[in-house]
Amino acid sequence: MLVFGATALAGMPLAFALGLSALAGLALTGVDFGMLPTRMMNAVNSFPLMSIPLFMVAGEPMIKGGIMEQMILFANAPVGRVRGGLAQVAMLAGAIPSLVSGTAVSEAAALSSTVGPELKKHYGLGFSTAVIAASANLGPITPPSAAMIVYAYMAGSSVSIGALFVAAVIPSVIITAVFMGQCWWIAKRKGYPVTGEPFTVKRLVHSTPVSWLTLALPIGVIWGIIGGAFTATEGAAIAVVGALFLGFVVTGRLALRDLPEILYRSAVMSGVVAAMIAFASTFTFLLTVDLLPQQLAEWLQSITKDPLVFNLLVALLLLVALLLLLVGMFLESNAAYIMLVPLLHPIALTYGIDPTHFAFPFVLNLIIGMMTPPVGVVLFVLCGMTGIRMGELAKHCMPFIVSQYLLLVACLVWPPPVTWLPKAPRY
Amino acid sequence: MAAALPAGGRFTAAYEAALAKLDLGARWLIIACTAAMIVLVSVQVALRYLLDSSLDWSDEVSRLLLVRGMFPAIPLGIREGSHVGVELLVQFLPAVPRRQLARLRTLAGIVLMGVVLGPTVRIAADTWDELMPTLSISANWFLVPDALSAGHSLLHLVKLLRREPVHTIGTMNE
Repeated sequence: MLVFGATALAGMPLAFALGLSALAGLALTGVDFGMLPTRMMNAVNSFPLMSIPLFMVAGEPMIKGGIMEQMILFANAPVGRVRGGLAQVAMLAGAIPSLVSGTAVSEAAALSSTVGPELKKHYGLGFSTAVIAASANLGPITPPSAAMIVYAYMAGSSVSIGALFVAAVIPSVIITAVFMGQCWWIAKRKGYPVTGEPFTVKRLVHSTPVSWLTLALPIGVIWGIIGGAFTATEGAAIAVVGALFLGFVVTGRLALRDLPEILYRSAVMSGVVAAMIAFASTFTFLLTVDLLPQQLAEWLQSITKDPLVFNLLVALLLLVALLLLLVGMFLESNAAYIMLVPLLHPIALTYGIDPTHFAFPFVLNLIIGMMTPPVGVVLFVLCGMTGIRMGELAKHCMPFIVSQYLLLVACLVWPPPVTWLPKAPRY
Repeated sequence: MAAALPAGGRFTAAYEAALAKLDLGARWLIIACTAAMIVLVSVQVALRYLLDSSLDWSDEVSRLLLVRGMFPAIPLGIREGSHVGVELLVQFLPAVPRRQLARLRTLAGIVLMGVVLGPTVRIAADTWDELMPTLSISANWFLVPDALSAGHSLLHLVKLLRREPVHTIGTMNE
């Protein structure tokens, strides 16, 4: 742990910091270094893990293939005329492709270059950039999400990727609706102009037929995964085929020469995650050998000796949430899943907490950290793209950040929005 | 052009040219493996639902393709500075210690990759006769990308060390 802390704070890429700390652990315990490559290979040699690069590949045509523009047209039909309509459009347009892409940073970049200029014209730089940040953050909250895949993989057999996707459905719908309500309220309070055309069913049905196809793809994929028709990995492969079909055939914005770059980009991004998982496998194994999870469990239990079981559970969840608030902001989120899930998830199980009720708030917490100042990665990306100062962007983002934290607390205190769907009879 | 360079410069140029070719090979390997993985998993789903059939070896081969696609991405991630790190403290250091720290990080990376490479080659050679459950090929084909990736990463890190690594956010950027 000391080696990891020192090397990570010295700016070492986190994957290699994990590798070096594993090396130090092996040297100290006298275990053969041969364990490192074997565990690395076994950690990556996994069928469920394949869904990460595949969903990343699926996200690229959704963003580069003109599908985002189609979604903007589609979202404009029902909500374009509402107060703050353009911001509402950005929220919907961000939420729908996120059903496939599931990464916040790429969506922030895509939204910024598509709907960004129009938003800025009507609402100014501050609010428009905050809307894009909030919309982009919907990506990893909405299933399928790369963050949830990594969590489920690191948690082992106690929580499946599908169950975690199902658990995220209701909270992601709630937060999208809350964001849209906030856009309406802020636009009303600041007197932003009403834009867009009045809503008609005819316009919704006929103006954007391509969008209906686009909408059908992620819904079909998620439905198939949730319904058990195929695994998350198979769903991801279907999403890739569908997204490529949309990009090549339906919008015609993708050319064959784009394909190698799409595959390469997605693989390199996934390779970064795979490197962390590979090196962390030995690191977390050594922590287990040292009985650290048990010691941590005992320590937590010594803190929360309250006889009321319910209070114990909530106290544990809030303790973890507090820890993750810091981790999500300062530690790259994938590294946080890779390091903390093997430690904390088993402890949550010993308290009798529903695995999805522990997992979803855990993931949500780290995702909120991605747009929480001072170092939220989504804010950094948008500051770089738009030239807005961090302080100014943080001020405009605050209502969206607060509502996400309120959702987090609500999910912690009142589990049904998270646990109801995974426990529904069909599932 | 090469003749005008000093001996060290010629070596560096040849080293970097060879590394560029290796990078290109790794790039196309990644692209091919990812494409094959997509095709294989999709075909498996199609076969199951359309022909009520399946390929026994699909799971194993697709996992092999994943490992073959992911590990070569690690050195290319080093080249492109894609590996994420925490730069909160380092960015406040003056230029000279910051550069020295960057060199130290690169050296530590070289040690790490060296330690990964050695045992990987040893284990793969010692147990090469073990076969995969569904295919009559060595199970240690899974370890080959691990070794190649460590070696390739090592070459990139050596290049970084020779070239005075530039300190940028969260990475070992060249």
